[in-house]
Order: sequence, then structure tokens, then C-alpha cells
Amino acid sequence: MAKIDSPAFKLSAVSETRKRFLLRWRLERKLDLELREAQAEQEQSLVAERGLTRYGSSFRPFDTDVREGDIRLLRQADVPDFSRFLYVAVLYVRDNFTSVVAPFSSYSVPACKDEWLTGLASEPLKVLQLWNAQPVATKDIAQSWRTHMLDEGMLSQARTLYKHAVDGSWPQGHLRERVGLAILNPADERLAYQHEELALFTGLRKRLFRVSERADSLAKRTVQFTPGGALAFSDTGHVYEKPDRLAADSGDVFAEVIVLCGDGETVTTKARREADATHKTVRWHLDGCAVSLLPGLPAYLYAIGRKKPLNTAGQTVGDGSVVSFKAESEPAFSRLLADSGLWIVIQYE
Amino acid sequence: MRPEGVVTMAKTQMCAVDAASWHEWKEACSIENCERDITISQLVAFGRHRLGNALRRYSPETANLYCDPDGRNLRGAWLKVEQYLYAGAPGTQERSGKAYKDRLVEGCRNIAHFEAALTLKIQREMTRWILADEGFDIVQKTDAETGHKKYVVTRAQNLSEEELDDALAQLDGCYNEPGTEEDEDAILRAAEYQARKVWQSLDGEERSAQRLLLACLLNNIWDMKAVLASGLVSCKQSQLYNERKTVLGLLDSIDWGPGCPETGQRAYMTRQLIPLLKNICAEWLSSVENSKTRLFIETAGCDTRL
Repeated sequence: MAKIDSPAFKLSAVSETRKRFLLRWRLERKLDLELREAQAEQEQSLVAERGLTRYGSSFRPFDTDVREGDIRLLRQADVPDFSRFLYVAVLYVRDNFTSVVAPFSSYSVPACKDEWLTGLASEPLKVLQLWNAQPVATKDIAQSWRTHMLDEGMLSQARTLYKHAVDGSWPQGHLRERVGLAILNPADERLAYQHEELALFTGLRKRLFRVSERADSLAKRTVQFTPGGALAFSDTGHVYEKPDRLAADSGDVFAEVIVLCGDGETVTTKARREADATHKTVRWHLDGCAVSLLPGLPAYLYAIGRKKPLNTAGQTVGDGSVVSFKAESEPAFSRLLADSGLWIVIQYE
Repeated sequence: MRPEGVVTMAKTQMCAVDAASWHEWKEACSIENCERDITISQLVAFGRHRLGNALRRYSPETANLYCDPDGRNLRGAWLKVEQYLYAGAPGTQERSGKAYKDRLVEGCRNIAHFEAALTLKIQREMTRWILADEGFDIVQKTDAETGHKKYVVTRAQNLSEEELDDALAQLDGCYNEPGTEEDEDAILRAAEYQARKVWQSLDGEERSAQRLLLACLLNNIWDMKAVLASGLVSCKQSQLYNERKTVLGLLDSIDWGPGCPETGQRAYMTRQLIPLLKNICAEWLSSVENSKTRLFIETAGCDTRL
């Protein structure tokens, strides 16, 4: 009886350059483990207790406007390993309060298939871990320092490799020669390394979860409007009176803004509208808000005086001083252009 | 002989940096831009002392190379520190690329903490980078007296081309991958075919225990006692271990055809096969008649994760 064979396929040998990556990585890893062990005691004594007064000297403010292609150094509070200076590249800034970031490895060559030798000369930026790319809250990533930018070409390459990492496929051509070798053996030491590196995002993942939860709960809150134009939350009974303002004679449209700061505290301000028909987006510029907001905070726009009250989700963008609402369709965009009885609620914490 | 206190004082002076000097360095971007002589001399001493100590532990000659005992390039060690920690645009010394200074200040509670954190950076990461660049290797040795195993960093002889070839040759056959997108598609087809074949080969009452075991293994359940206790199989523990061996053997003995003779190639194909097999298994578990098995796997899986 004729035997039905497995469909034919071809596997190719890997280049010497990429085998050298692995040899070098193994050497660096061994040295790293040895040096870590030698310094373990010292490191323990370095972990700052939370709540202690920080070093008196001031540090540069965070670069709060998160942009795609940014290379950023995360603050210490976001990284569980005190001694690790974690640099990340921002691959995407999304509309849903999240950004996708990929961290840089602390080794100088790619360890595995989804690590990329970037070609950047700086020691901490030599290898990008696309396998470890993940969504984080944009507001968290806004609290970090921008140190450099991936140029357009590099950002495009990083995104291509990210897609390959997600679907398990292989980059072709010159990109292939800049990634490491696949992990095939369950006992491969590179798995332990990956486990360690994944753990670096534990805190940020938890906080992303909290942001999503708060955004959901804000979305579920029902509001009512009083005949005088005040806004009231039905669940808590909080009523926000519309402040008396002089009528604007510039033709600008304004909205009242409530920032929910946590512990029941709120800050109010107003915002001026800027409509962008091309992108079906309405941006509201906050006017002298008493708290510094960050980008990626959930926001809702409400309006009265319509058959169906307006209730649209958006988020703070830029450096946090603008709230953006994007419509999916022309009719939805028209609805966003309501011009009276407007309230914006921003969930700060 | 000097009294001990003097020695201590001398050492302290040699590597202490006061707050004003750290502040000047932080604001000035680099030691090259610092104007105060005391700042420069303190940073020079700090860099030479910390980097020198870290490297000397493994290689005095490398420590000398980087920390310049002859005093011809006093700033060298500190400039290395700045160079290694810089993460900005190449060829420039932009302030943004030196955010590591802000990170150090932000994360530290006082100057001692700041210095310790910077020292750790030097002792761990910079030392690793330098040792790797200088061709050091690390080997595991057994202490003759205690019998304890420990890693020892040794100066590797510069690898000859022949030795390097040997090291690379050891990786031959271990790592293979699809060369083109067409190859990727063909590999996926072959893996899908084999996944179906493996699953079908466990059809029938007499192989139900093996199918259950495969479902467990695919879902990371390796505890055979839990499988026995589930009541889903009716055999002895030793028999169950034998069945598991058979299942693992089945995966190991897949005939991938003539295009796949090497161990590395087989390993690659097995890695492609497992998620596909898991998909088939998930579909099988979703049917009503397998709900008991599904429940067990979900519960045991949760226990394993705990």
C-alpha cells in the first residue's frame, strides 16, 4: 500500500552571524549571572522603601507627550528591579488609553528570534525585545523621559518585527540577519531570561488593568441634567452646578470640565473646542486646569438639549491638556458638534 | 606604618563626591563641561576607584587598561561610565540621552543611595560589557576543598579561527528555519497534517488514556497522581506512566519525511506542531461528551498555575 507522506517542506541552515549572536549572548548571560550573584547583597540594600523622602536634588520633569517612535527611560517606580534602567520604544499610541511599547534588552546581541539588533550605537539601546512588546497605560508611559527617537525607517522595521513576533512568522531579507535564533528546546536557558524580562512589566500591567476598570466604570455611570444646566451623577448624587461665565463673543464653543481626582475630590475648569472635520475629531483645549493631567486618561463628553443625550468616550492627548473625541462616522461627528450644555468628565485617578 | 584612621580617611577622600559636585555634573551634562576643579577631581577618583575595583576582581590588567594607573588619561574611567550609560542620539551629547541621571535622582533617597546605585551599575553592567568585549569567559569550577561548584571568570585565550569554528560547528544542525515565506507555508501545512495524524492515531477506546494524557500534556498538566485521582482513567499508576511514555514517544517519532533529517529540524517542526495540536485538542474538549475531561483540565490547570 502506498504510504501517504507528510507534505514536503524545506528548512534552511542559519547564518554564521546569527550563530555568533547566540555564542556572545550565552557569554554575556553567564557573566551577568556571576556579577549579579557577586553584587546581590549590595543590591538588596539599595531598594528604596516606598514613601521615603527622595534625594533632595531635583530631576528633569517627565516628557509627558507620548509619541510613536519615542525611546523612553521608565521611572524607578514602574520597574520592580531597582538596578535596571528600563528603556522602551513606543511602537503605537492607541485611542483606548494604551500604548504598545517594546523594551530594550540589557545584552548587546539578540537572544532569540524576536529580538532585533537595532544598529543604535548606545549600549543600552542595542537590542529591542519585540517578543516582550506589550500594551501599557499611556498615562504611565507619559511619566518617563524621552531619550531618543526611532527614525521613520527604524520604527517601520520595529513594527514589522512586532507583527512577526505576534504571528510567529519570520522576517525576510536583511531583517532576518539582525534577529536571533529561535528557542526550540524547553530547557533552553533563554526561557529563564524571558521569564525575568516579562516580570519587569508586572507593575505596569496591573496599572493598565486598573485604568481599564476605571474607564469601564466611568462609561457605566449615568448622568442627569437639571433644568438649570447642572450635571448630576445618578449613582452618587453629586451635582455640579454650571458656573456663571461671561458669554464668549469670539464664536468659540466651551464645555464645563470635571476632573475626578479620586477620594471624591474634583477639580473643575473649562475647555475650548477645536473641530477637525478631516479626521472626524473634536479636541477640547483645557483652560488653566488646577491639576496637571497626563495623556491617556479616560474622558466622557455629555451634552443636553437633544432628543438623545450625547455620551461619547475619548481621552486626554498630547501633554494631557487636550481632550480628544474621535467619531467613527460623519453623523457621529455631527453629533459631536453640539454647541451648548456641554460637560466633559475626566477620570484622573 | 600609617595609623588606620589615616588610611580610612585617605580612601574616603579618594572616592567621595560631595553634593555640590554631583549637582554640577548633573547640570553640566558631562565631566568635560564641569568647571570646578574639585568636581572634576572627585568624579575622576570615583570613576577610577569604582570601575577599577570591579574589574580588578577579575582582571588587574583590564582594570589598568581602563583606569589608567599611570595618570595619562585621568578622566578615562569616568568618561567610560558616561559613555556606557548614554542612551541618546549617536555622536551628540544631548541632555535627553542622559536621562539616566534623572532616573538615579528620582529613584534614590539620598546621596549615599545615589552613589551606591551608580556603583552597582558600574560593577554589574559596565563590568559585564567590558569583560565581554575584552574576550573574557566564565567557567564552572569545583572547589577542591569544599566541593562547592562556582563560576570563575577567566581570561579566555583569544579564540583562534579554528576554535571559533568549533564553537559554531556545535550549533550546526541545532537551528534551522524556513528560508522564505513559501517555506513557512509549506511547514505550516506539514505541521497541520501531522497534528491531525497524531490526534487521529489516538482514536478508539483502547487509546483513550493516551488521548487524555496528550490533552493533559498539551495543557501543562504533568501530575499523574492528579490524573489518576480524577477517575477519568482506570489503570494503575505505573501503567499510566507507561502510557505517558508512549505518548511522548509518539511525538518524538513523527516521520517528517526526507526534508527533516537533523535534530534541530525535528525540534523546529515539533515546536510548530504543538500549538496546532493544542487547537485540535481544544476543539475536542469543547464537545459535550468531553465536558468532564475539560472540567478536570481547567481545574488542574488552575492548580498548576497556583
